[in-house]
Amino acid sequence: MSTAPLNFARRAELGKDNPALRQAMATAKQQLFANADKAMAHPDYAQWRDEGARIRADALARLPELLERFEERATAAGAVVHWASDAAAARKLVADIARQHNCRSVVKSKSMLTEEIGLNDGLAAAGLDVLETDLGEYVVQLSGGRPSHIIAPIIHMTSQDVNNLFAAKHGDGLHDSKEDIVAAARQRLRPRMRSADMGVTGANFLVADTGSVAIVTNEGNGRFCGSLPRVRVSIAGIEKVIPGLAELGKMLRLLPRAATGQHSSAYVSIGTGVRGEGQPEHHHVILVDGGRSKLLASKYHEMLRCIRCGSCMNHCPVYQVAGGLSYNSVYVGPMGAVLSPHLFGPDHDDLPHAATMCGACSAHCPVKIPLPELMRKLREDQVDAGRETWLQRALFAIWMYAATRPRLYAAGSRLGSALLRALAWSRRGLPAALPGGRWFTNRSLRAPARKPFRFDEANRP
Amino acid sequence: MPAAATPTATPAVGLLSTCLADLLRPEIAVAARRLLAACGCEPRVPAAQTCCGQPALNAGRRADAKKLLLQMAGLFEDCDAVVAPSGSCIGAIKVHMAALFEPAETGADEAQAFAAKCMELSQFLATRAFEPQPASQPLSIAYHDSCAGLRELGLGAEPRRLLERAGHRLVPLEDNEVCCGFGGSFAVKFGAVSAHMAEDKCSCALASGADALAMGDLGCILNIEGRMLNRQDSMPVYHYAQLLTG
Repeated sequence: MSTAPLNFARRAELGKDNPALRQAMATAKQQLFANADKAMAHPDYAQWRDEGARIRADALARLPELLERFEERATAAGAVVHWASDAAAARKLVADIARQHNCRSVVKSKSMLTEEIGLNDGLAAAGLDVLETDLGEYVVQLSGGRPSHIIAPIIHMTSQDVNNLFAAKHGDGLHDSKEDIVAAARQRLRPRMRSADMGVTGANFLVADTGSVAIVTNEGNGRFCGSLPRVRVSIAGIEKVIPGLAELGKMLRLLPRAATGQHSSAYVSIGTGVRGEGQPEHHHVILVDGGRSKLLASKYHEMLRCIRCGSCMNHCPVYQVAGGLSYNSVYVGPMGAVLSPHLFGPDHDDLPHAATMCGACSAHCPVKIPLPELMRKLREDQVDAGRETWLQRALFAIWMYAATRPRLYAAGSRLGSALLRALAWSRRGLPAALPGGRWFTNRSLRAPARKPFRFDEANRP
Repeated sequence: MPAAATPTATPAVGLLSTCLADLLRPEIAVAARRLLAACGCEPRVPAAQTCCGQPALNAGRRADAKKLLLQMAGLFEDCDAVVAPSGSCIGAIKVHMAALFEPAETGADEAQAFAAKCMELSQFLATRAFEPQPASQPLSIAYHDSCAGLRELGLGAEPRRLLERAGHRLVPLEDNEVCCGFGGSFAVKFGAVSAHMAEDKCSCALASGADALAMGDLGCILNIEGRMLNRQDSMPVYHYAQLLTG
C-alpha cells in the first residue's frame, strides 16, 4: 500500500504566496507568455504545428535508423560518438573524456539533460571545476538551488533577488540597474569561457543526415562553449534526432515561437564534428538513453516528441500558481508531471495529480503531445500497480458501493444535502484533515436547495 | 440526430442531471428540463441515475468508470438523445469513457451508442434552432469558458448566442479560457492552489464590471461561487441555463 504524501500540495501551499514568486509570475505572464501567445497567433502556425508534430513522430518511429545514421555522419565529420545507458554511465563518460584530454576547467551552456543526469555534481566529484554560463543557470548554480522552468530557470526570482544573491556571492555590493547585474555576470563568465579546457553543451536537435548538433540560445554562450575550449562534449537524449536540415528548419520555426515568442532565437549554432573554422580540436557526442527506450516502447511514447520549449508550463494555471519548485523535479509543469515519474520513479507519483486536466497545455503544445491524457494514464498505472493512496481507495470503495445502488444513493443524496445545508448554516467549513476539508481553504459552499433535483416533486413536469 | 431524422415527432430526450447539479444546485437541472420542454422535446429524468463515472475516470479507476457509464447508458436506453447541463460530463463520456472499452469488449457497443447520443445542453438547443424567451431582467454577463466544454467539445459560441438572444449583454472577461482551478478531486487534494486559481478568476470577473458571471459547468460554478462567498463579494455566478428561462 502506498502512503504517497501530497508533496506537491504541501510545497505549493508553502511557496505560492512568496511575494517574489507572485511578482515574477505576473511579469512572466505579461511579457514571456504574452509574447509567445502573439507569435502562436501567426496564421500559418497551425500548419507548422502539424508539420512539427509529424516530424517528431516520424523520427521516433524510425529512431534506431536515424541514430545510426547520425553516428556514422558525425564520426565521418571527426566527432566521437558515445552511448550512455543511464545517468551514471553518462557522468562517467564525461569525466573520462576530461581525463583523457587533461581538462580541468569546464564551462557549460544550458542543458536540461545535464540537469537530469546530475552532471555538475558528477564532474565536481571527479575534481573538475564546472561553471554554468547561461545567466539563469549561473544564478541557479550560485544559489545552490534548481531551475523552476525549463527555458527560464530563474523565472521564480525577481531581479532584486538576483541582485542580493550576487552581492552575497560576488562580494562587490548591490548594482543599480538590471544592465549592471547582467554586466557583473558577464565580467565573470567571459574570461572563464575563453580559458576553459572543455565546453559542454546540450542539443536542441541532432541532425542525422549531417551528423550535426544544433543548439539555440539567446545569450550566445552556447556558441562560446561549443567553439572556444579545445574539447567539446555535446550531450543529448537519444530522442533528439531528426532526419535532415529541412526538418531542422521547420522545427526551428516552431521552437522559439512556442518558447519565447521569438521568430528566431538570437543564436542558432550548428556544430558538425570538428569541421570548419572555430571548431574545437575534439568533439565528443554522448547519446543518453536514461529510460527513453523504455518510454518509446510504452503507451507514453508521444512524450518523447517533446522539444523542451516550456509552452505547457507557460499555459498551465497550476504551474503559474504553484511555481516550478513545487514539482521538486528537474522537469516541471505538465511535461514534468509526465516525464518525472518515468525518469525518476514513483517518488514523483504526486505530479500527475497536480493538474486540473484543463487541457491548456496540450492545446498549445507545438508538437501536440496529449499531456492530460498521459497524466490520466499514469494515474491508471498507479491504480493498477496498487500505488493509489489508501484514502482514495477507501473513498472510491464507499462511493462505488452507493453509486451502483440507486436507492442507497438516493438516501445518501438526501442525507448529504441536509448535512451540506447544516454545514453552510454553521458558516464553518470542514477541518482540513477530513476528506474534502481542503475545499474550505479560503473557499465556502453555498447551501444547496431543500431537496436533490430528482426527489423534489416540485421539479417534476 | 434522431430529432432531425423525424422532425415532426416529439423526441424523448433524457436529462442527465449530473450528480453535482442534482445534489448541490437542483435549480440548474430544473432550468435544463424547462429548456428541453421549451424546444419541443419530451424530457425524461430517470430517477435512478447516479453519476456518469467521470470522477473514477480521472482517478485512474477505469473499471469503476466503465461500470458507471454502462449503468447510466442502460437508464437512457429508450431516449433519442441524452442531454446534460455540463461540458465536463459530456466531454468525459464522449471523448474518454467510451474509448475505455476495447472494440470487442462486453459493453463496448452500448457505451459507443450512449456516447453518440449524448450532447451538451447548449449544443443540443442549437440543433433544435431554439430561441429563448426574452429575459425579464436582462443582465450584463461575463462568460467563463469552462475547460472541458471548451477543449473537448468546442463549446463557446452556443451559450453566448443563447444569452444574447435572451437579451443579455456579454462583456469581455480577461483570461476567459483559463481554468478556474476546480478539476474535480484537485479542488480538495490541492485546496490552497485551487482556491488561489478561483481567486484569480474572481478578480477577472469583478474587473469585468458585469452584473453576473455565467458558465456551463457545475464544478466551476461551485468553485468560483465558493470563492466569491468567502471573500464576501456578491457577484452572482450562474449556469447559463438559469439565464434563459425568462
